[in-house]
Amino acid sequence: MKHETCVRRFAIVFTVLCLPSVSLAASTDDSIAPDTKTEPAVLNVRDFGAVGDGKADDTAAFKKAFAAIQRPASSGELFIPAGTYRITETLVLNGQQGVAIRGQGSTKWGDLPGRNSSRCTLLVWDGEPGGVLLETVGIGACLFERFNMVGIAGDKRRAFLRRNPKKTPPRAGILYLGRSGSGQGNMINRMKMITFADADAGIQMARSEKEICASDIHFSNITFSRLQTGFKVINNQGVDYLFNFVFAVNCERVFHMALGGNLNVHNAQATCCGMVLEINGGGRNAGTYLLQSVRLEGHSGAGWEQRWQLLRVSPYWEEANVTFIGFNDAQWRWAKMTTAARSTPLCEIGPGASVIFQSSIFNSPVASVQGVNGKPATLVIRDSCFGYVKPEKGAFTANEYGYYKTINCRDDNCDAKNLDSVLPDVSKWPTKKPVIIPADSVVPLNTDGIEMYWHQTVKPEENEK
Amino acid sequence: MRGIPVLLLVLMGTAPVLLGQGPAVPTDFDLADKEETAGISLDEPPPGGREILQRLRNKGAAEVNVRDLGAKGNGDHDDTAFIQLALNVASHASRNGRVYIPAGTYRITETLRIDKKVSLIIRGDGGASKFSPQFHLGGKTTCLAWDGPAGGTLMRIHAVGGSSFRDFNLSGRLLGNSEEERRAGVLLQTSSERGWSTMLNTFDNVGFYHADLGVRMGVKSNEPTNADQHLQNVIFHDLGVGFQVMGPQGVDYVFTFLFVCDTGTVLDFRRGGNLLVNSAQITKCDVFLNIGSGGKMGGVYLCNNVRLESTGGGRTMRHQLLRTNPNGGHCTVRFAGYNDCQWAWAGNKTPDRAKPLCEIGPGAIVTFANSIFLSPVATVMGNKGARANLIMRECTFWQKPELWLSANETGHFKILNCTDARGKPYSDRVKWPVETITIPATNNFQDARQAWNEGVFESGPTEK
Repeated sequence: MKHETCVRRFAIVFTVLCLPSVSLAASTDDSIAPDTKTEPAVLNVRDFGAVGDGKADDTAAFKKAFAAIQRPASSGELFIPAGTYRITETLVLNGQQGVAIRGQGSTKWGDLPGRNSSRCTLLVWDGEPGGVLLETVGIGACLFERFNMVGIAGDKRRAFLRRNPKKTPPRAGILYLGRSGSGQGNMINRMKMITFADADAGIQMARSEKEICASDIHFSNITFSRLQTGFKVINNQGVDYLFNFVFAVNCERVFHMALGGNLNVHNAQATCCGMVLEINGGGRNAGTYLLQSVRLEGHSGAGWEQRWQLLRVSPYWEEANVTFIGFNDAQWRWAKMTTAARSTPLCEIGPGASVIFQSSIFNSPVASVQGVNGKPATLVIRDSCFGYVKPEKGAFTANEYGYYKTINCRDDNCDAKNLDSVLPDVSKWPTKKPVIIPADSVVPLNTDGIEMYWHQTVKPEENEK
Repeated sequence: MRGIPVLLLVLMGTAPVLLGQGPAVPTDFDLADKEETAGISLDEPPPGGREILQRLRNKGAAEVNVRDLGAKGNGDHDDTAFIQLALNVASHASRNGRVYIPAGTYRITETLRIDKKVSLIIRGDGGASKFSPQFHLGGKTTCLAWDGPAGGTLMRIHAVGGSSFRDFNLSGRLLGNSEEERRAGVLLQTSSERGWSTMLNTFDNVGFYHADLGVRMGVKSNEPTNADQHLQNVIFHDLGVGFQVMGPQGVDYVFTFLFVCDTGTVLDFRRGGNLLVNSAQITKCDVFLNIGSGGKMGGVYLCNNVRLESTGGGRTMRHQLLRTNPNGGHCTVRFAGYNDCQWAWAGNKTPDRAKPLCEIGPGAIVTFANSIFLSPVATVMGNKGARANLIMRECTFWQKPELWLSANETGHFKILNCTDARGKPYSDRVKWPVETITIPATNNFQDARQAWNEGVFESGPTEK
């Protein structure tokens, strides 16, 4: 230990001697003199005492570094070199604008035994089980890049699972919690190349329904591994969550929109995930969900023959419009399943939901469409391919308030002799013929006397103040 | 001249190790035989500039830090000449030119220019601040703020390609200046000339604030290519127009994550097109997308997950999503996952209330998929030369679709598989001038080839 301290001191002195412009004094001196000391320092968490060996408690060092990040002498950038940093209390960023937290690399799944951290940055939770690793309140224009957030150290997790193979290890509750402060939205931030592993939730937006502006985040190259929920939204202001390239493995749910919406996902791979998207809210404030190129599959071992689900949507009092473009159901081994789960549909579409699939491939029963009186559920599938099940038999179940249509679909028969690979359109729909309006007639715009659903909730007089 | 690079390389062999940074990019400033660019000759750098340049060369820096050249970024000092010098130095670097603008507010009084350069990297410490870059004083954001004559241009890039602009903000006025006085006209103007296009640039995490125009592609409508730009994590705030395309060669403008508030027209395509938008939040803006042209060169516009709303007292104001008037050309527009948050529109007592969300003009074909409408949707108005078309699939209407649509004799629409707010399907509504032609499925369909061979298209397709 003493030896290590000496080495570190030497390193610091060495740095100061060689690079006067990147002065260590920056962390204590808030004054800035651009003429002489022109290069604001990129902070290094190790200069604040972090060790990153997976043993030392680096919480205090991170807290100091977070406190220093917005000082004038810092460039607003914190670098976390490769290593495993043990964190025992929640790290909080509050109100920062335009800062960047960068690691040296993220791993594929989380914490890999033996080769876990040689070139990667891992923040590992070792505090109270159920705790929050990183929390941001009202920050904006910030960037988080290239590191892992892990809810329990790999060796601890493995030791626990050897003793209790069926239990969940004592791990973090939330790895990243985004909150809006008073009058301060937690908005317009970016996360790039971050792996979330071993926790109840990888990312959670807001602590309560009232924190409305914890939103507008651009996520790219995100991995979710061994989580109960990958991304969870519990406030109603679901605005613009953009995910580019998501890789999820062994998660119970990948996206959970308990409230809010406006989710936009491009390219998601879900392997052995119980449910890709669950929606419980939605509505006029934010009820659209668009997912392109989503692929769902099992994996070697038992995973091939388990049933994985894509969607459960039950907005009930609100409406939710969900579109999948290019969904790929890689569950052809479902056909060999002998358990009761075999009859579980890919999608459970509840009252108030309107779901569309475009250009997708199905290899297992597609959906259960269950509306209620006055709040139906609808599903439309176009230009898609059905394997193992047919639109008229096996693909759908529906009650009397559940409606579905397939348009321009085909089956997976590629035998040149068989001309039946194009399927007839199938329709279980409450309306029959379209209303034909004469093509050359004039339709006037009418905004008077409109029956409006929102009279109870929005009083115009109040808004005019 | 050859001696300096060799010396630099020797120095740099050790420098990156000491700096603890990645490999440094060799920089030999080949200053002698380059012409001046924007009125600031490198032979006459600003006071102290020559010494600073020399120091920079000795250091073998891979990147020009504007503060090394004398910029202060304190919101008071006139930093124009120093930042221009940094841009010139980077432009003269024989390899990658990099400029670093640390956090701070830089007062700019004359147009900054970059001329005929590829592979530049201009970066700040942070950009795309919410609302206003100077609002969060002490934040780690970089802001270039205009304090020149009203209506001036803050930055002009001419024939710049393959370059990256990231992590900074451009503001049309300095904090403390009132709205009207000394507000910039254009924050970023691109231009090109024959043989010199401005294309393949990326803008990442850049904010544009307080000006008549945020970004303008091209000066004149007949200019060569000002196109193929990727803009991600971009903010427009308090602008007359966010992004304007002047030239016909509108090819590939990609917006990934766009956040806009208090702006007149967000995207204004005077000519050209080929737009892709992924995730846009639009708050209190007059209109999101205005299309004044289109046609064969570039008339395709795709927008995914756009959300339109207002805040506070503006809630009852009427905001529009789309105006198309391709003006003799034609354009296709598609919105998927559009979310109309204008339920408070019902409280609007002004004539604005009757304004539709979309004005679809002659020559436009507009598609909505999977969208939610809480206010009157569209006027579909064709003329005798060109019809206007609207197709809506699987959308939610809070009112009967025909009450929220209007159309003239040459405006046509199809409403397919749409539902009401409770999810109950409406009957399809069809106002369409032609019927489906059914061709027997077993036909060996060679008619088209025969038609080509017979040269039916020689005189071009005719409009009825």
